[in-house]
Amino acid sequence: MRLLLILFIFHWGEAQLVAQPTKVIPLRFKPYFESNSSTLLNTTFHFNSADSIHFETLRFYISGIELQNQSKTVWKEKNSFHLVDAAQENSLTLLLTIPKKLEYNTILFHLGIDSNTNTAGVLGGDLDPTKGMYWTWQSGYINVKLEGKSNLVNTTSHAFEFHLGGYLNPFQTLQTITIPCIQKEELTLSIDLKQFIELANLTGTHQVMSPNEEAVKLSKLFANCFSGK
Amino acid sequence: MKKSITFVILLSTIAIAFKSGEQTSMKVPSGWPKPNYDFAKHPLKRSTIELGRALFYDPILSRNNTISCASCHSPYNAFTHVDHALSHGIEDKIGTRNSPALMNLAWNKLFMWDGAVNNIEVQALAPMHNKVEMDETIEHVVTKLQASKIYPPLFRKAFGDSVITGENTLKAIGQFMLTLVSANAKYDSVMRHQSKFTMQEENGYRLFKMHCVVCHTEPLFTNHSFENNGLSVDTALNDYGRIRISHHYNDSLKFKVPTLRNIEYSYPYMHDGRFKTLTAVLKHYTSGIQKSKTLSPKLEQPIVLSANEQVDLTAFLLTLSDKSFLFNPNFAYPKHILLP
Repeated sequence: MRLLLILFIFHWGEAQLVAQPTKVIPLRFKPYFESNSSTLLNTTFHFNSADSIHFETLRFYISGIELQNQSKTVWKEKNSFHLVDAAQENSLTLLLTIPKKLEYNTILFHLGIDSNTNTAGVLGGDLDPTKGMYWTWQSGYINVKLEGKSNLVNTTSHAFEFHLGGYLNPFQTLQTITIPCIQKEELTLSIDLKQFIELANLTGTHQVMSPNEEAVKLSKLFANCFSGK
Repeated sequence: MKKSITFVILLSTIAIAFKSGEQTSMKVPSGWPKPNYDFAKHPLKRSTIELGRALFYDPILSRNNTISCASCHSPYNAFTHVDHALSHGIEDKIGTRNSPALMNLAWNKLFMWDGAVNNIEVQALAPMHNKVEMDETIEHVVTKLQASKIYPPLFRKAFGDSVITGENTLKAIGQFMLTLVSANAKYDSVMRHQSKFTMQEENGYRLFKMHCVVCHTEPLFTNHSFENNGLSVDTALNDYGRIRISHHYNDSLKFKVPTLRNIEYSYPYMHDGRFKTLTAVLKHYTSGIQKSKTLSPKLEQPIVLSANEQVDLTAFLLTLSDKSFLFNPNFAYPKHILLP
């Protein structure tokens, strides 16, 4: 019995020695409409002299995070599914546990949830359907939810509602985002919503609630708003 | 020391044996294809099935606690809603479709009449959130279940945690539905050489294989495809079926081919319940087909059946009734849980 215990301790110690030392780096998402404004939600922004907008909801899935060095993957996050919610300060920062001496120059991730996960049945954690990011009238995750009001919307409520998702062709909405980054103690990715709104044409389209051509187009536009600036 | 080691080993053996007693497996009926659901990855567990059964029969899943899954999927009617062409849900609101009969769901790839749902584990979300069915949300269901007296212990038994999640709630309902297997009709006993068709049934089976089997493929009596079977569009409902989900023009007017098992009990028929009797169904296939671009090629040529042949075909269809399924006590209302 004692011998077994000694052997166990020996192997455990060995495993600890072999394991690479790690560090935690925060990956922060900073969605903004005006770069100098600290809050995004429920703040009215004026732009283009006569237009205004305010956002009520911004939620999106980030998945499959990896780090690359010279175009080669050097680290991949396991079980990498995160719901980022502008209303939940904590969710805007993801903590990545990576090897201490890892060299990388690019971060890559998906905006949304991949097809395999979309068909894998019910899942938990950030993927639990209680998170309000799963369609119920048909199967599939909503990759991005953006809601608010703007004078650009020609209805009495002036409301816009974008629920972007779809995992089947021809309306596959998953986007892959690759951003060059330098090795620092933390990574910050900005999301420029002004760029999105200016290109989205709210006057023409203010409601997207199912997988369709508009959802694909807007998903691409939204993905283009991420930068390492 | 040796004695204590032996005791520990003995205890853990008992624990493992007890735990494995919780696991149960899906017995695939002989001659049936491999189920589509991955049981190796998601094994069935008795306590999860039992929890799912309680949830299936509990109106707590609806906004005002009046409608359960069983309201539209009654076990004695092959888990569907008889008497109503279009099923009625909360506050007697009427939907646009006839509730489908639930059985042999482990073999399905897609669910609902238009295949909107891709996995049985997420199927219950659809009626739960539908405004005219249960008009509830999974978030609120979880809150109600957590506050109830009976559910936290049942979740602890099933999932090792009394903190209730949407994932576990839906998983449990899915596991119960997976156990609804009907494979013991007269047809099955004839195939197993345990009994014989009457002459009339035998002739009906011959006609069935001539005219129906391409879509209603044995042994599940569906090929799980979506077909336009020549029904005219109900202009009050304007339901064009699968096209709503796939956005493919070719899918206009296509609906899931339903199983014919227990058809005697699952009336009325078709996605909108427009036919009350099998006689009306056969009349449609012999003289009511509406031609359109997406009509199933198998129905291009009219099916010719004499009056006697229609009677024989019906006699065969009645051999698909499985009373051991309809009256299986394991599928019935769990009085011991919900009304202790």
